[in-house]
Amino acid sequence: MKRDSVSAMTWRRFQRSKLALGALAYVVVVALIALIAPMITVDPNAVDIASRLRPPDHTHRLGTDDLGRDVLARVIHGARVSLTVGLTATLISLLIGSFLGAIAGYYGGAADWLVSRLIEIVLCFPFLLLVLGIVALFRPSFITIMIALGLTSWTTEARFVRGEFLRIRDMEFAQAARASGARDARIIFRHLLPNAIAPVLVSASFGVASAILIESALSFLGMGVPPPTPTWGNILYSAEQHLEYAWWLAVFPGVAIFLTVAAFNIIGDRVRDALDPRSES
Amino acid sequence: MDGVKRFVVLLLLAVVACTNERPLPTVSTSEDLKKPQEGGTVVRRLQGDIATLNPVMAQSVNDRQVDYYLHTPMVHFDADLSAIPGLAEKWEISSDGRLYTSDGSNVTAGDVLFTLKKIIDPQTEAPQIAGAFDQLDLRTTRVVDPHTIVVGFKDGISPQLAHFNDLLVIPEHVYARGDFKIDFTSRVVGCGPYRLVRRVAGKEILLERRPEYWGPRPNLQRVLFKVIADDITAWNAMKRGEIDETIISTDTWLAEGRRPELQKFIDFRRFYTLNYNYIAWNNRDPVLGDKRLRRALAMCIDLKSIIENVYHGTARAMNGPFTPDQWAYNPDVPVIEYNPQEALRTLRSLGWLDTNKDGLLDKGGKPLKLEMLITAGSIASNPFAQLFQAELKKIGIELDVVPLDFATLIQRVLAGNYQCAYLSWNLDPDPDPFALFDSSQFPPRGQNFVFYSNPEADRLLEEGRREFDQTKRKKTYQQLHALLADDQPYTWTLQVSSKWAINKRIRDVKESKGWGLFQWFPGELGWWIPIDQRTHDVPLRRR
Repeated sequence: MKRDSVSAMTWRRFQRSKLALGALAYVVVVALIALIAPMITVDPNAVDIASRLRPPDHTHRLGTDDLGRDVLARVIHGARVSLTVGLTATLISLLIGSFLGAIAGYYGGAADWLVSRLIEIVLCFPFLLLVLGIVALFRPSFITIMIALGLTSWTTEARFVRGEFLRIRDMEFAQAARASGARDARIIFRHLLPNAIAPVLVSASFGVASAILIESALSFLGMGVPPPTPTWGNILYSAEQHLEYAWWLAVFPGVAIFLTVAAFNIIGDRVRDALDPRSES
Repeated sequence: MDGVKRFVVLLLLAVVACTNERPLPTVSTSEDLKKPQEGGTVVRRLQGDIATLNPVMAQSVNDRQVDYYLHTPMVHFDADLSAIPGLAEKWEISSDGRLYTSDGSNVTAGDVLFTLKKIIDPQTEAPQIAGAFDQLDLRTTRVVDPHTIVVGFKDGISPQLAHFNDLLVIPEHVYARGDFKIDFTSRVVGCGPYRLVRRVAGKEILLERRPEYWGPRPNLQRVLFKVIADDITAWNAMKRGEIDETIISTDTWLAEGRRPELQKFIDFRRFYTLNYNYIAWNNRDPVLGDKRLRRALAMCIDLKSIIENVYHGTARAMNGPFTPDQWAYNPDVPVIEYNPQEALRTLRSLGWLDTNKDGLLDKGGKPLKLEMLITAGSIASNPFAQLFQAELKKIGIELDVVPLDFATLIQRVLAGNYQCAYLSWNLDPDPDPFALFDSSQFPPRGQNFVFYSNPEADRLLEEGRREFDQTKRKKTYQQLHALLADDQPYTWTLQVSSKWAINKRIRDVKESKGWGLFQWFPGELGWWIPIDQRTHDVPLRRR
């Protein structure tokens, strides 16, 4: 049987949007720059308070911050933190969400009830407050923030996977697998999950965007990645005190956050449209 | 000495019917505009909402700001921070006792006793004030007549008189009824020059002058407090003329203080108050327990450069527990000079060497890593911590900066579960630092959370607080200053001056020596607004 795989078809549809392609290219470029950051910038933590709060000029293309550190170097290094936090947190939530969603959707009954209640409990808490609570309870660090974000944002993924499982668990291919004596674990992870994962990827893309935003918010509140590690959020945080006369401190990390979050959202949006069989062919 | 020295305070109160002998204000002519005039509304900024209007339960400086209008303290401070009569008319001191005489309307000695009992009652949990009266002796405290009270103390210490500034007397017949902790958060009966008109939680508090006030009447008819937590928001409100005063950051002061269009209506003030920033070293820490190492770390702080570049000369280097404005200050104590190379030599002599060539000093296989707690969101500590971190890195010490919310930070510090922390103190007018450095004052008893213990320091601290003669106290405290600077239980860093913006329509805004604009006498009670500049009166009435 010769047929296009879903992924190939999705990719073909995805390509039709110039905007989405641009967003994807942007993300790739940012990721590459983040990878080679130490090679292309000065030390982002080199303090020089004699030249603090300098506007952009030839030596400091994007100016300096309140400790005289180069803003360009800090924004570029900040990309490493933002992307790592965004991707890792989303990966964690994807793993937890898919696993719990799969269990709930496949077994139903008590397992479903338990997972659904767990989702509701987690959803009861305001997201940012919950993350803040976890971070404050342990201590703010790179790892804590990624884990805290991952542990609190898996509910969307779990609900998607559960819904998909409810739909496909009694389809012919699942019944065939069961009839041929496959164990539950094999049916779930080998047969059902690959068929349920598509909508989850869409939410994951939005998840990356929201994780980047939340990391910035935490850093902005002073509860993010501890100093001196630069993140877009904590550059903004240090900008707040100097907003009236040091615009460059707020504008550049702000633009970086805006573009990156927008890019992930556009990608997510387009992937969703591309996956939707009811959208224009 | 046998047993505890007794300390007795005798307080006389005369119940005086409110008199209104003052002539009514005359309508001002242009020649009168330089003389204080009655009336008008000042709009003040509160940096956070008040927790309660119950003065015994006051928790923050915000609460105290409002309380000072509603209650007259037993003892006022004047501009030089000397105790002057407030509700208490006068007092006497004897070798083992003191006599206070007070004159107030409708306030009786019984009310004073009631208030004192409430303050020290553990059930009250008066967070701020209880410490000021922890030596109170109820067995020797007694009401002599409605105007006189004898207040006894278990211990005779000279800072006690200043603590009577914290005693805001509340009437027993009102406050004895109901739940003391809950029922008086939004209503208040005080003996001060103003009364509460309304409180809108989280937003504003309006006070109005009491016509029947027994003491010298303040000029302003109304005081409106607006709650504005954020400094930038407050500064913008100031520029729009919506508030009459606010504290401003050093950077705002530097960037905007010289703008002529703002100088037209804003008075920019800068002065030093009784506060300082410091690094608290946990003296119990195996590494930080050595004062030579603490001194070496102190040499890595380039105070001169910070003062020059970050504060543009609007801060001073500190070298001990007293500020240059305090009489206890010892001018001969040097500030530790910035000298990282000397610091490195000291560290090497203590056995800290980079044996494994990883760029970090180590000893016995352990690298020299320190953890410094700072308050998350603090404007002062974040840049300082990062500068210190960068300096230490240069000589091979890793400093982890851990931002924590203030409550968590204090909890860890009080439990001794920390290595170092960047903190600041607001000091009392009396310089006695007993609670901070005496070895009997380890938490939870006192605030010696650096666990500093030196018998010589203990002796000087004890001597200083038991002496009533200021000249002798000064000598003791100057010795103590030198000793503490040498031992470095803290590394004192900066005293940053306070910067204020005040609308020029407010007249006679004066600062005290170290206590700032408020809560001394006359302080904010001496302010007035010329009759042609009462911009905030009309909207208030309409509301």
